[in-house]
Amino acid sequence: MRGEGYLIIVDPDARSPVERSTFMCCHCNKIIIVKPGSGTERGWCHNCGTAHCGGPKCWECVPFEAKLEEWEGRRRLWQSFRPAP
Amino acid sequence: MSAKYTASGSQTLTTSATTALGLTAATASLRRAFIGEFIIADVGTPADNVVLHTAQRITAAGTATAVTPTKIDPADAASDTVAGENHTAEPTYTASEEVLEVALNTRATFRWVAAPGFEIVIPATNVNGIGFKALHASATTDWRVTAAWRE
Repeated sequence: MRGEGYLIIVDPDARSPVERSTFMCCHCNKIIIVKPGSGTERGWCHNCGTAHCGGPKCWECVPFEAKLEEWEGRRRLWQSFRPAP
Repeated sequence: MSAKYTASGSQTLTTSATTALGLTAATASLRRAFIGEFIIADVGTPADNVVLHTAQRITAAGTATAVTPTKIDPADAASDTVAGENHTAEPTYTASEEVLEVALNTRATFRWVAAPGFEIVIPATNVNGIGFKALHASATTDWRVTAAWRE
């Protein structure tokens, strides 16, 4: 999997810095730290063509962009109810 | 080309999660912001404590000390994102909308960088955004978050 992000933890007590690839869930925008061999179940969305976090809400394809538009649309709806000045 | 900004915020650890830095869309100039990098570090007296740090979506900014975002390119306009640090009243966090949770030794420094196009998105919705919070059962040291974003 391609790295969609990168993290580094520098701990003076550790022998070397901990470096990990991360990816972004295509449905909830959560940062997932890739830990090979961890056994954590993730998912793959064939619609989005990328991985998702495997969270219970993310198995159904609702692209994060659609969620953003819903959040932003809610604001526009509320504004439309405001009385004209 | 999008404009880039940074802001930092500090907080003292307590037993309940307290926010060091909040970034929210500004009421007057709503636009999306894309957080591409953040750094978490202890700035007090670190010890062998494991602190749980969380970046989570917020829908209200809470009460905080205002931080003026720094323009990376001085020619850019001021940021349309509101930054606040050292919260005295917590932002309203959205349940189950954690963007990242990481348990971190206070002696360690954490840095996350996104590949272009894979940033944390702040929606263009009034006072919606991201808060960075942490807690520990007994440690009371200070910690700090620096975030960088584009608009």
